[in-house]
Amino acid sequence: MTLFIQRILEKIGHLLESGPLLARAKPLFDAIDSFLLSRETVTPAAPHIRDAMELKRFMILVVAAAMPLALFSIYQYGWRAVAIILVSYLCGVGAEAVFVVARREEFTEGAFVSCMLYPLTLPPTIPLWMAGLGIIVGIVFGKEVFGGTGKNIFNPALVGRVFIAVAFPVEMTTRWLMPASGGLGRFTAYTSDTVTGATPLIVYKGTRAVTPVADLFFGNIPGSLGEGCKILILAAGLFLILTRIVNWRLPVSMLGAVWVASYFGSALWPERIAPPMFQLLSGGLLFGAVFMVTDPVTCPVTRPGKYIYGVLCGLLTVLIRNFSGYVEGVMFAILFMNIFAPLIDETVFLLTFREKRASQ
Amino acid sequence: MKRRFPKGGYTFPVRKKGPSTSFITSPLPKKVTIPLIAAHGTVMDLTVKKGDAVTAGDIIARNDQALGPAIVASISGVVEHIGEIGYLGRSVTAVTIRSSGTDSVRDIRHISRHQCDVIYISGASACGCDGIPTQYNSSRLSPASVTSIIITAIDSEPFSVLNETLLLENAKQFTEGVNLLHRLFGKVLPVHIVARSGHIKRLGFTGQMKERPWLHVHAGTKKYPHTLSIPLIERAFGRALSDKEDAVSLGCVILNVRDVLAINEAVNHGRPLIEHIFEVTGPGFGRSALAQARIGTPLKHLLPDIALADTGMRWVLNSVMSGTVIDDPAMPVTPLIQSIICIPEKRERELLWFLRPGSNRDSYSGAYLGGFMKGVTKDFNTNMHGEARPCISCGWCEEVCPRQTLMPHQIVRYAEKGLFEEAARFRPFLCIECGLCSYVCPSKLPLLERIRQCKQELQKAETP
Ligand code: SF4
Ligand code: SF4
Repeated sequence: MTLFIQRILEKIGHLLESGPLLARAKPLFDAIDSFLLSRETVTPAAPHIRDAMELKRFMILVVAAAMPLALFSIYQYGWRAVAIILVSYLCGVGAEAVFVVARREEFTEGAFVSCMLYPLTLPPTIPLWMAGLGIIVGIVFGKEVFGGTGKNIFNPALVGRVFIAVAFPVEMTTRWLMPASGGLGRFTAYTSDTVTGATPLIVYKGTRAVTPVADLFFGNIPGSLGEGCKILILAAGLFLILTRIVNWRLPVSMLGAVWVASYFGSALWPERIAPPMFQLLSGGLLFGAVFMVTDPVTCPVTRPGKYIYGVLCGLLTVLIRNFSGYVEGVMFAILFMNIFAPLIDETVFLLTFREKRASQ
Repeated sequence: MKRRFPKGGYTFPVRKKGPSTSFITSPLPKKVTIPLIAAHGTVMDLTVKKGDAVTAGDIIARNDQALGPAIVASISGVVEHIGEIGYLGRSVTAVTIRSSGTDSVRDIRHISRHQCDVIYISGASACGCDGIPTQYNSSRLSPASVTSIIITAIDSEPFSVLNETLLLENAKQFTEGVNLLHRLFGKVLPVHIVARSGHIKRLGFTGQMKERPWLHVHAGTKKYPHTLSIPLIERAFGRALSDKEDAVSLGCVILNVRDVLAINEAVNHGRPLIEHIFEVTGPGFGRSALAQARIGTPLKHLLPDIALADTGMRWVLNSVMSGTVIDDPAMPVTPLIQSIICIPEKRERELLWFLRPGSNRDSYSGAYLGGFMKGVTKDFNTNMHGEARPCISCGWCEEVCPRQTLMPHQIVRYAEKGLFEEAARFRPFLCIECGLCSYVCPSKLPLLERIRQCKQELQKAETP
């Protein structure tokens, strides 16, 4: 089987070398080739052995961690969730492919993660074209304009999400669905018509009514596709931390900051700031803390920097949620902090190395 | 909580073979070719000429002015040829001795009352990372500047078993050697031994420590590269070293178990360093063996496999993490050989490789099932396991690096663009070139190579 595929791939590879136009498709072919079969490259020098971990595996594990959330969103909101995810993949990977071919660069796997995480942050009623537009903007303006994976300042999924939140506020904030619960849920339905206007955060903003913690925890509330079941998000977080893909410092400091800020905030200023448990479990906070703040490319690289970044993300979230016109602040907060990540690092470098010089 | 030094490191999941290691020995060779080479690369002055008769243990080359040990004949016979050979990428003078068939060895015990003299004359001053200091310039340290002796009794290199096997099998001689070492340089020196906690108990080091106030035994782990000299000093001293400090600047003599045994042989038993013990191991070799041979024996006499072409094996000298490939199967045995590791080259392509559970794969991050299945032998080979990608700042290289405050990804970020001055800010000279960062990098970046290159460029810039 392997040999058979290898032979077919070799044939296509030769074919691609035959014309200049076909040769432009080489990066795409390479991407498919290396997706199907591992490479034959051996280590050129020391170290002579290498870890089995690679970027494909790295990215696929993040997708795998988000998969249960996607399944749960089908259960809650019907098969339309799958349609949204598929549109996201088509448009996102398509946009990436266009750039790869135009730039004659290698296809990098980061897009697969962005295209998985982005739809999970969308409301279930989002028009499909809007979802597609968002991820294209995200990939192009969040990543490609900076030179591709590894060089981007912003998290592409967040850029896409924030773009449509700003461009289409009505669709993004007013049409929610009441999730199904019990039995097969909506595994048998495409979508649902029972539109409701309010997520717990919107309810809170209007009436100061706090949704019960159990409902928040088990996702028995209207919300974005992937932010429903908190157990699944926590499990995904744990999985990613155990495989070292997520640095625990980031989610822990972000959630910690939110808890501390809303604990003291709600005690001092109860009419403005919501209580801590409600803050932690509502909206996209947990999802953001597990999947978005932790994007290694856009967060600081230094250890102290990670704590600072996480804490600031948390504080900013509480500020936006409780003091601005927006109900949800997680995405804005993280995207905003993305800008400062390099600055935080630079400051940490300066301090670390100055201290060292003084001690010598 | 008390901080443990050194930081980082990684224990390779290589199945433990225990002391049931086999031995490879060769009969007395008919001819040996002894390269006049020392760790420092000094040119030696020959003390024999073609046609001279020598006895095993006679000095055949020395240079008391320049840095380096004395080199002794390893068999008795006649000097047949003196010429240049290529050795470890350099051209060196080599002395070929044809055996006379008799196996007489010079007893050097009564040559001098000074043990340091005996060590030099026996050739044993070639032991250790930097040679044993004697008044004949055999190490960058002088006997007066030695402040402590640090011995590693752990193997942390993947597949390595040498130290632990020798320690368990020669415990008595090892203790004799240690007793000798602490007063070797005319003063009582602290001797630090870093050993596995199980071995400390088994060999009764704790009891010995009570009787000998100069002896300090530390429990160490099998984390690579914690037995290289700098992390070893950090373990013994319990603090992090700066990029200006190393074994020489701190006056530490770094030895392993085999060095201690060789010194004991020379001083207490009068036997010159004519034989060398090293290990042959690795998944391509299938087992671990200790090889014992006269210095100058061609490797292929001991290991006929090494000379076979197209076996799909890669033979690596001293370390799979930082060593070089052995390209000459006739390479003579010298004290510079620690271990020879054989790993399979893997060029086959596998279907949907990255999606597999991978119970036989090793990964630092535990991203494969292999991380949880301790009993399964891991498949180590030379495949890259993935493609080169841009750095995604995952930080694993920094986490696994044994040096405090060293950030391999930042150095490489600037070094890749040729901005070596910028890279210098991140202290590349802290790097001990263990190669662990390259090993763990999921983007398969050649971090070790880049950092080496960066250091070279910076050194060039400093010395106009
Ligand atoms: S930077 Fe140097 S010391 Fe650190 S892991 Fe890499 S090779 Fe080893
Ligand atoms: S391990 Fe590789 S990808 Fe990760 S930070 Fe280091 S250099 Fe970058």
